[in-house]
Amino acid sequence: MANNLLLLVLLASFLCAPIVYILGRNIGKRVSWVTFAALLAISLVFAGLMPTVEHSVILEEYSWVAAPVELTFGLMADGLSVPIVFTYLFVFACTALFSLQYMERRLGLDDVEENNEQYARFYTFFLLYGVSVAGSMLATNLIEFYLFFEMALVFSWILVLLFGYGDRKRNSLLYFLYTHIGGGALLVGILGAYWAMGSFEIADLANISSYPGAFWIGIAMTLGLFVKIGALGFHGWMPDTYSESPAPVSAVLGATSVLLSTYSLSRLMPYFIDVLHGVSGWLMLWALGTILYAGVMAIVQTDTKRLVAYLSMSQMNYCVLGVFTFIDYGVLGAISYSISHGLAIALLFLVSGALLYRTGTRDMTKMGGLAEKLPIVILATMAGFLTIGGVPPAVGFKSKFLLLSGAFVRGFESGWMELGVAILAGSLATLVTLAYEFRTVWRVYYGKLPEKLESVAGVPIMMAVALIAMSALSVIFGIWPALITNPIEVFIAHIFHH
Amino acid sequence: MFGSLWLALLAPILFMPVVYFLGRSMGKRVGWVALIPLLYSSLYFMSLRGGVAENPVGEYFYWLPEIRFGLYADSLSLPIALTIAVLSAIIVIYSQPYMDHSIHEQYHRENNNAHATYYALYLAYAASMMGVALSTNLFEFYLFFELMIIPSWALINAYGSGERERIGYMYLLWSIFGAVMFVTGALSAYADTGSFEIADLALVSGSPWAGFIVVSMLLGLTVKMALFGFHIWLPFAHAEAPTPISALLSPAMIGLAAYAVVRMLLPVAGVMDSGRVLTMLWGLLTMIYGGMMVLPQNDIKRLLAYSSMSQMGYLFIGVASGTAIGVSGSMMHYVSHGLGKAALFLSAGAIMHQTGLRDIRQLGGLAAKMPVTATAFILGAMNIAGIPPTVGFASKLMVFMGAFGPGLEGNSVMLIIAVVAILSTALTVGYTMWAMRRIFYGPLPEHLQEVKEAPYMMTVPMVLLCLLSIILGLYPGIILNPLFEVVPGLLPV
Repeated sequence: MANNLLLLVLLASFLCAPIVYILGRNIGKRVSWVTFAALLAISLVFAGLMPTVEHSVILEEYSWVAAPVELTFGLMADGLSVPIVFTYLFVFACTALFSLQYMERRLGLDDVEENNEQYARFYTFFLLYGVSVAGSMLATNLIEFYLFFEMALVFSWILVLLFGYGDRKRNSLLYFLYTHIGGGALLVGILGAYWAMGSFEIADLANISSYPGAFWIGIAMTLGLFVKIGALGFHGWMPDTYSESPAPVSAVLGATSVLLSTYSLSRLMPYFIDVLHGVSGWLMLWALGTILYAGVMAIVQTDTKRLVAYLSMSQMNYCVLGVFTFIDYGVLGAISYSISHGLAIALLFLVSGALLYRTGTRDMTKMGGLAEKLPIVILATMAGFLTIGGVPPAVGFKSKFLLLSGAFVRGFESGWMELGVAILAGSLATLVTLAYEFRTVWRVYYGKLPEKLESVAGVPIMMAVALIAMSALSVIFGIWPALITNPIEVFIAHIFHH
Repeated sequence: MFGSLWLALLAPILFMPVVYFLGRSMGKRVGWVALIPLLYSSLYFMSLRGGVAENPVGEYFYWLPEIRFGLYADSLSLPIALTIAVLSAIIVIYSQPYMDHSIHEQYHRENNNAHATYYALYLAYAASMMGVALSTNLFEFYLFFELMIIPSWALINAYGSGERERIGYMYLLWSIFGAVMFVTGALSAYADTGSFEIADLALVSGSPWAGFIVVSMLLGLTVKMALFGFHIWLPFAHAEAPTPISALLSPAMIGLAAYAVVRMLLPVAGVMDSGRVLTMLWGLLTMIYGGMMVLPQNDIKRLLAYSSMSQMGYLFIGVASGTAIGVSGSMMHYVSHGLGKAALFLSAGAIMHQTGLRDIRQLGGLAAKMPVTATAFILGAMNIAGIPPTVGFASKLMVFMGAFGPGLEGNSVMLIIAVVAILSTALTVGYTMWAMRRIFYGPLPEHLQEVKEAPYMMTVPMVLLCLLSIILGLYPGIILNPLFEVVPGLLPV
């Protein structure tokens, strides 16, 4: 294996962007195939790394800036990043496949012109978005991490701005401002860490708890990431951005939010266990509040995409809850749940896109009895819902169970508040989740088929393939969870049992 | 015999895609393919029967470094798993004519897809129930417990009658409610003992959390058993599920919760025994309430649904008594109720299939027209009422002997409970016999003059069930003797 594999992969994928753009201007929508191939190829590289990171860490370092501070440009693939990056890019690839027909329909609407230039832009930014996020998950120092993090924000903002529905200027501004302020808080934490220990290296955070101000550094980073994950109070951007973006964009936004923020929390927060242990119970409570609030909001939605948006907000916060248990099973559960959730949420956004594509509406009160008409879509819905509900045989079961095990252990160690959080997260929140999921299944797929929808046809083949591929991965991970959990366990063992 | 516990458990699941894809072209006849794995599981479990009393079989693997999944067949879990396998195998034969008819009524055309999905879900459902019976780990138990909910929900939702979507949703929410209560207790037990092994649950005895853990797991399980207060979903779900599924839902699935109480909660010292008066009263209340509710029912399946609820009261009283004989009696009653109630549901289904009616007021005098169905109904009724020569006699007798145990030790409340429980068995005899009379005797109404006996594929399964219950009734020792060697070991000293 080349000893600069990660750099090559990253560079090659960035270089694909101009190629996609130029090709797109000439061949139009068919450039989605190129994007798909590029993303799939990178994701397969990471799938191939999976066995390697079960026993070792791949680390590449290049000198980047010498003065005034010495910065290295490092890339690291370990048990934490590889499964997440793989899932993430796989979702991107499937979404690219799905977007082919969907974007054709989207660009056919009045407010934007359909031409090759639009396709070229869409797929270029789409690709850049995916690669930037992958970059921030491989970064070894905080500046590099932050750089990719902000790049991802900019590219996704462009996608929302150019291709959203409704008042897309307002929505994208809201999205940008919220996330940028979150990024600002993160930057405060990063600079604080540099000021305290004189280094931007993530690995050097290991000694952070011995520095004064470590508590506030941890809090600043946490709050910054809480915006990304839509914690209650910081979630203002989320429902609008998610529901008014075209389905492929919502899908990757949803997957990014959960995967990138859980990755960042699990990468950074274990260094702060000593200083943050005291407040972590309150952070768990905050997460529980978000889970319940968004869960209840999801029950009352009648718009499919708003439903998925709230559902995503609700479930992502399980990951926050898991990480802040600071218990091995809790963190392991949170990371694997983020993978399950990333897959499932993208799947569900694509499902709502497929429903919109075929029925022309997002209003669930106008749907019903679609199970017969759209068998593949209901299968994908069930795969997504079962994953999110933590119901076997989907992968969500194991991850949620581990996460809750961690929460209960923490509860028994720490006291009533933490135990209460664990109990409510395991009982009430699960009940709420399954209530809105199966209510949706009933409303959309069963009951009486409205006359207007008598003539609905099945989904186009590429959409079907994308939905099936993602559902299949969720079930495969569910049946052989060791595929993803083995590498993650190595990472967990490394932080909890030195 | 060739195989292993895991293979016997997973065979139905491995057959799911086969059944589904074959079913799309074969239609209803794919039921025969679905029979293969179920038959294999039944035969494999049967082949173990002789040996497990001395040498229980356990097969384990590590799922996570510290979490071990296993299947364990001893003379407590094996009869349960065997009952499930045998019932599923018999009922899958019955499903073919029945589902053919009901799918026709629903879609008004041939629908191979509907058959394919039905049998695939059926297999998943059967396998998950066997998994619940054989699990050795709470994590694994919960996995199968949740897995059981989904196919049964889908079967009600897609193939049920009446307001099936609403009822399916209600069934699902109640089941999940029970599951989350259970998992709260299970995770607390893990946090307390650091182990997910079911065998290690007894270690929580004496911990300050023991009460919380046992109570929340118990409440979760009693939702599944539909004890009084948690029973709202049962009459709807069991009455409106497709009849072959009712015949599995009703005895096989809900009784599993009683098995779980025996396996998991009785070994914990100091909790179940200190609440014995309450739990036995709860069982009694369920028994009487369910029995009373049977009487005014005019819908033949709703009638059977309430009678299941009432029978769960018997199961629970035996378990709650905490005596070796009562607990063994309950586990035995799981088997007899399984055979009896399945026979009742199948004959009710045969009546619905042949007459198109399920309102008892419109039925009557059918014994002459449908002799086999009538016989199956009588034997099933005798079985759940505990009348010899059916196996129900032995099991109910033991439940009562167990219930008297604590009573005779000088606790007068217990004694009263036991006496009332015995007297209320008259209720069971009463309602089953009265239903018999209304359905099978009396004048034959005009509109039923042309009714014929159900096809062989429906009558043969009923006959098999009745034969089994008589064989076991004559030789109850086949199950009881080995059962008696395990149960005392589970009770705290």
